[in-house]
Amino acid sequence: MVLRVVHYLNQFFAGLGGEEKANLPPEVRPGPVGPGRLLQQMLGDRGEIVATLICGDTYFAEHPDEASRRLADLLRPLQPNILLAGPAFSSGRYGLACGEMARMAFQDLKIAAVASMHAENPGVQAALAGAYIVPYGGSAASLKEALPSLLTLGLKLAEGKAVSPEANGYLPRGLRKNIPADRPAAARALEMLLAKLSGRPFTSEIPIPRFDRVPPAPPVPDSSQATVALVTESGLVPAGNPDRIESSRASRFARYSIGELRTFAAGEFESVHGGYATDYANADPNRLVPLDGAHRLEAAGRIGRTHDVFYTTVGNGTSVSKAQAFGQAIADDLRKAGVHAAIFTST
Amino acid sequence: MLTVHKHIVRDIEFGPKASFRGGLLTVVPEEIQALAAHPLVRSLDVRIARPGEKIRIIRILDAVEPRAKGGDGVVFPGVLGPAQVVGTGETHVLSGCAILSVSFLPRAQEALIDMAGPGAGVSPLAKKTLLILEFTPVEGAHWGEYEAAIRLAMLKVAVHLGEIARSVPPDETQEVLSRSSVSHLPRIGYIINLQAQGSFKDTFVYGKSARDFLPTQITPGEILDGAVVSGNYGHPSLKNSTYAHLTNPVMWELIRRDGDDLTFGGIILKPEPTTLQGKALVAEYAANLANLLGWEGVVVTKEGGGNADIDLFLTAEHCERRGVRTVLLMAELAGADGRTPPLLDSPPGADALVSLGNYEEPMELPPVEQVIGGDSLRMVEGPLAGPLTIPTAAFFGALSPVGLGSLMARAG
Repeated sequence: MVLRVVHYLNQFFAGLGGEEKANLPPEVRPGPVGPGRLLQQMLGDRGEIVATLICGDTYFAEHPDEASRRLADLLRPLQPNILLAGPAFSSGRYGLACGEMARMAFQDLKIAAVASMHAENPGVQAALAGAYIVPYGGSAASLKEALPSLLTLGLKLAEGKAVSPEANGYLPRGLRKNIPADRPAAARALEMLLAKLSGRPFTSEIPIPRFDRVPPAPPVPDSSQATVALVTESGLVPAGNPDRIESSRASRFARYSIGELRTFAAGEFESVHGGYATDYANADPNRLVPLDGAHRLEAAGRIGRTHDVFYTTVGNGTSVSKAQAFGQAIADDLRKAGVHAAIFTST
Repeated sequence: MLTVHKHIVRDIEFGPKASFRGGLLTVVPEEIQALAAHPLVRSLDVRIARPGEKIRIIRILDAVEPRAKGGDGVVFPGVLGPAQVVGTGETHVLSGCAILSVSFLPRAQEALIDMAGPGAGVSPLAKKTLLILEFTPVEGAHWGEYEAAIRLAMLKVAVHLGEIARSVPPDETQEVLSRSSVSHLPRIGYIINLQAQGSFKDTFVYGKSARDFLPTQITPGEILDGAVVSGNYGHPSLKNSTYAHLTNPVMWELIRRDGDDLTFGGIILKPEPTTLQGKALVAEYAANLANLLGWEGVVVTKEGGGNADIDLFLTAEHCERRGVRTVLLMAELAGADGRTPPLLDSPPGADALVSLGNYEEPMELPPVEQVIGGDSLRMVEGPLAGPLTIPTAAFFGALSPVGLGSLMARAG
């Protein structure tokens, strides 16, 4: 099969002009252009550069979403097997565009896609998590040396072959992928431990992440005036779980209006959490989310008002990124609703 | 010292008379049903699944490797036999096979095994011939008592199979020392964290829930004789089944290498309490024990997800503070696309982690010819025999905290 290849260039490498043409909006031209001709020679009869996409660097930098969307619209009907972007060398704006092109084609359009640029090009950090980027440290004068790695990885991806940063020379994307281990975990553990004991170098197989720590909000000055919301990861939902929150690895949270309710009645609310025995919680759901207690405090004037919507999800094997997204969305909602404080119950 | 006689089972079949010949184990379903009879069990279906067969097994509760001692010898003390200290004498083990208990239980997180295809590649038990015990409760059965009945039945069948093979000369014999040897090699111990947090999330040591234990020392022989039994139905891939305890790869690797490039310094069992204060206490207590035992290094494994990671990190922190160097085995919570930070915390002292794979990576499974264990799973819409997309986490033992699985994750 002859692979259909699309190449992405900026206005300069496409031969349309320098800075004075950097505002050019996205366009498509048939066949190879500029460095694409050399790429076509290297491809030989394995593939054909069917088109070249071009965009001015300034245009891309100033309208990144718009540029990406318009280039995706131009790319899709070309039905390519591979998108190759650059090389962008050390050019920052061009690097950002090449990185985004490789990311968009690979992630959004599911096309094999690779970009080439200097490892310290800002385009690397911007796109790395979602794109294959091969580093090239040389200058634009040595174009011929930069192209083979770009092309080879593109062909491998298009053929659906397994690739790795070590074997194929691309920058590790920081994505965690499951692979069959070549040796049992127990043997690897003991070797790592023996190395650690003897002072020999060793590498943790899991990188230690750095988390953002959220400082607690300042105390509520007068709780008797405060609107207090109830938020939980205990999996408490209306009976029947209308939003189908998963019992583990939850992909969503839900909000339920509890306007007139003064207490959660057994049978009307239940827990769908898969991480603990729910009998006692279901017998009295207020044990999970103290709606009855909140209203007692409200009646006693200890808090101003119980917020009439409660938020719920299941915290059971939930990924940090999901939990973070839930937290941000819930916090935004609460702030918009004028809530002053929230009680989070956890199980 | 425990002498372990290993009998390698190459296949299992049903027949009129139980026997073990040339690796072929013949069992009588009616005998097994009689052993498992219990007022709360309405029926028991006995089935066989072999590696490579297009079978999907669902709702797996636990698994066990068959074994027996014969005579007055006790295995699974405190659960099946009297609660007396085990780990000496001779034990006959049937390797190459496993018994699975399968049933619906409320709140049990539903585990599956595919015997063929990509799912089989990540299911450690797909490489074994499986004797499947599928239980159905009587109507209105008390779930806690029904669950205990299943556990008892499975262990009785495990001993029954062990007894069938016991009269046949073993394929291999190995001696496992109870007392660690003395040498100049680095002294390395093993801390096994056990999830014991109440009903359906419990682990039994000599028949007692490990829930309120302080960390304690145990010999490999005791574990091999079934002193640790699982009653844990959370997290199919992140729990330690009874099979995982009996075949614990970290323990076996330490036994194998003892006197070679290390000295096996022993094993500490440690619970995973439900409060932070409790977690901190057992972590420090275990670290203190490790230090008293003269361990220079320790491998620590866990059970469960989320809160169990905190137990792992606290143990590492307290061990390292006492100069006992640590390596931790961990599955990663990196999200379906592998983009999330793989750990929940950035723990002080924990700088050597072995990856057991990403929990959430989805797997594409081709259709199968037969499904055993029921006709629906909460996480699956549509027919179970059809092609499915399932997170790695749903496979029984795929990310086994003690390293039974075959996966690791890395940056790609």
